[in-house]
Amino acid sequence: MAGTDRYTIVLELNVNGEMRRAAARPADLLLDVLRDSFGLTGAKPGCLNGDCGACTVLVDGWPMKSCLMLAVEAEGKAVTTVEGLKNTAVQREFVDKFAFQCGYCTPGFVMNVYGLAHLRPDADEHTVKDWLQSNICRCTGYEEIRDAVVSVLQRRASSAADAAVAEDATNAADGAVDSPMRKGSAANGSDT
Amino acid sequence: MIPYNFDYYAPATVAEAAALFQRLDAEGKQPLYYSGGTEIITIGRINRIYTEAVIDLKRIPDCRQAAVQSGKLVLGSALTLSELYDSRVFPLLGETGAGVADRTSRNKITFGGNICSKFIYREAVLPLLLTDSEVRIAGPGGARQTPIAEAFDGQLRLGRGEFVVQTVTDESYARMPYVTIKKRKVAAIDYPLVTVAALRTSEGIRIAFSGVCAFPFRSQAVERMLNRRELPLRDRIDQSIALFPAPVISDIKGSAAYRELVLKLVMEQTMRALGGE
Amino acid sequence: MDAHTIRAKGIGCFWKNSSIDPDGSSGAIVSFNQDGSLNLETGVVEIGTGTKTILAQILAERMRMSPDHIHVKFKISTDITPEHWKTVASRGTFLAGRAVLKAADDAIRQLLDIAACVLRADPVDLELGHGYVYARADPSVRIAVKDICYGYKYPNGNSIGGQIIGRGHYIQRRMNYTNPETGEGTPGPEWNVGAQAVEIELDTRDYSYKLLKAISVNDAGKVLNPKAAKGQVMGAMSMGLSFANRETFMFSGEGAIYNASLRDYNVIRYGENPEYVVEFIESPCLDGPYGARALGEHGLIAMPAALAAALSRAAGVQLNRLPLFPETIWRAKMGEPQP
Ligand SMILES: Cc1cc2nc3c(=O)[nH]c(=O)nc-3n(C[C@H](O)[C@H](O)[C@H](O)COP(=O)(O)OP(=O)(O)OC[C@H]3O[C@@H](n4cnc5c(N)ncnc54)[C@H](O)[C@@H]3O)c2cc1C
Ligand code: FES
Ligand code: FES
Repeated sequence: MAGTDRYTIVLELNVNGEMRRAAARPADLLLDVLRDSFGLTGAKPGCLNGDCGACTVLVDGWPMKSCLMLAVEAEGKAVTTVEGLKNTAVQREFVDKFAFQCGYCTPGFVMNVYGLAHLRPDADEHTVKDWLQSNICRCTGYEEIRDAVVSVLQRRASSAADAAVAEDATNAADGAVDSPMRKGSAANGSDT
Repeated sequence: MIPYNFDYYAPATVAEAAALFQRLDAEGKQPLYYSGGTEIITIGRINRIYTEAVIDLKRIPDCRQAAVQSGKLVLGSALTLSELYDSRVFPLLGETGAGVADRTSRNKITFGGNICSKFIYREAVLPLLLTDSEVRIAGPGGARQTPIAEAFDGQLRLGRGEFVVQTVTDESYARMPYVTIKKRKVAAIDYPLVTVAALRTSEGIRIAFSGVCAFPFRSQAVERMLNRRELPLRDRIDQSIALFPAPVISDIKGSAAYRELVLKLVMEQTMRALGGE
Repeated sequence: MDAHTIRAKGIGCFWKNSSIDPDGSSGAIVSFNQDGSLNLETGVVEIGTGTKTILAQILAERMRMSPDHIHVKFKISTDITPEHWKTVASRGTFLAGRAVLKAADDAIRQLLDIAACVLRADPVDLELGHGYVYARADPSVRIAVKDICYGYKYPNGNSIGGQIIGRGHYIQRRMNYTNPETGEGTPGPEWNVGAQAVEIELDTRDYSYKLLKAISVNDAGKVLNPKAAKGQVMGAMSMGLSFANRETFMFSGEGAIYNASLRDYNVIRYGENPEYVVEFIESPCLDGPYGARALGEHGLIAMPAALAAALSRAAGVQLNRLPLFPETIWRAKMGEPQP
């Protein structure tokens, strides 16, 4: 690309609780910086068009398609990729319920479900469907994924889940569950 | 990857954003206001939009506002569709917006970006049309507040360098009975075959459409016809479609004939739900 | 149901033979680590079907050990990994499974030979199991696999045997080309059958419909891994339904694709799937490993037919074209010829 040097900037991003720097273009996608500059290849390029959800990460705790975000937009925010989750309840349930085959969609689904379980632990079926329809899986029949989600939400609802939550909170990167609304942006009346 | 370079600016005030636009425009940078950015990124990737500078509106507090000020609901253009849905400040808007794309994408897609979208749907504008909302617009020439009916004729008419800061809606509208229905070709996530949003006010039912014609609209003529309760509902619906401002579209989502069939059903369902038989 | 809702069921049956090159073959290598654990190397590419897991189970069964002590090599190098014809055609378990059994038998024979020397017994009186080779009649006469898999060293330093490498391969028996005129021939060893059904709810106003329930009963020969088998079939059913109900490319007169992105090329998403019921019958395929038959792709095949049958019945019109968009059904109902 002609004149790219003139456009190169140094980005500073909080990824999985760590401050990291990368030389990038303002036009670079968060997805590409995560993968190419930081070697975090968990977020997958699927459609690069916002349609498949394979690239989903958390930004300040919210599921976000990293192909729909410039890396510069993530400055000052906490980005969590699947590499930032270590043996969380969501990951364990996905394994236990056979909720993947080829695994290409899995990091995206896992991040979405992780966000859901933390932001909407009492999510009803409508909400679960609304959130999870953001991702496409070509291999499974979705029922296995549903089993995993139901199980994660049940564990969070039950008192035993408190332990799992505490465990997840230490396992996940810092700041993974901050709502932009709660963080004092100007919007009112959030029910998060 | 976006196949060209641009600079990224994140001004902190409305005035700064407008001044930036003016300067960058003068420098030939073809600047674009950038809100959720999802459209600029996705159509930029396939070279269908070009810019050398984007001006992100998300760090401007006015564009992120959601407040009630003396009976008026003031909503910033950079609120995401998810935020509008979750906050429940304006359920008709929240729910109509929730028909757009999918939940994760709506965590990024903004209200203002949807209204100013290059796509033909712009579904989030329907509630504004129904509620005679006003749009606060700013630009190099200063700020203005305009009724949506004047600013929007299929798309928002903005002068060079102008952008939407906020919308202002009379709070009483947020409590009126409403219906919002989106029908798609077959899938749960898709552009609309037909989207209808409607509101019952004391003077009658108001109704607005997206996906039906090549642009979203609300039409006085259509509403007058639909509110003529002396006629049977189905006749009113048939005749009101003849009054649409443009032909019903045919595309890969559906033919005009099938769209019309679905449209009539949705209109009937809407009218009945609002007690408009 | 009510004035404009009809529930209907449709059934479709399938049979499938995996026709591959008549000389398509598969190889496997079994080697040992110093602790007696095993390494399994085959050319099957793991693409999410769980084939490599099943191959490890097959090996563990034959070696009478826990699959936990089998290291499955995932990486494939065309330099040294045994050839597997292609990871296609639901042939992974069948071809590679047979090769693995042969490699296991080869390794077992070598283990028994060494153990026979050490234990001063006839190899035919020995058995392998649980990490030991032992005398069938007196299991206390035994030697650990880890002590013989790299040769056996007597106390005085004399050694016999050496590293044990089991090799195996499989090629399908007496396949031949089909006659292009008559269709006669043997393209594959086994015909697999199944029946599938779909229940839908049709709205007769706009011909939109819901997928309520889908059932699949396949002859699996022998189910080797129940969860994996169910997952394979459910995934295939989902793809079959998605294909039948929405997936297609739309072309302009000049052949340009109108729906070239996932924005417009829709696939089934979470929650749009029906409830799945997956059952198996087991009539063993004598050529297959432990009687297993192919099942990877089979769950897809009759779903479109079952859906079309259900919708045809509900709409009262023969539907012969895919995908079955609501508009397509409406057009058929209006009497338009289906192109
Ligand atoms: C996966 C996906 C699915 C979609 N499905 C639907 C759908 O079902 N229905 C539908 O209606 N749309 C749909 N869209 C389109 C989407 O809603 C629009 O593209 C919308 O514009 C995106 O908002 P944004 O905030 O990201 O816009 P941006 O990319 O920031 O901006 C879009 C355009 O508006 C201009 N703009 C942005 N903000 C302002 C402002 N405040 N004042 C003036 N101009 C401004 C920008 O310069 C740009 O030209 C979909 C998009 C995606 C990614
Ligand atoms: S790659 Fe981001 S949504 Fe598909
Ligand atoms: S497991 Fe392969 S796409 Fe979901």
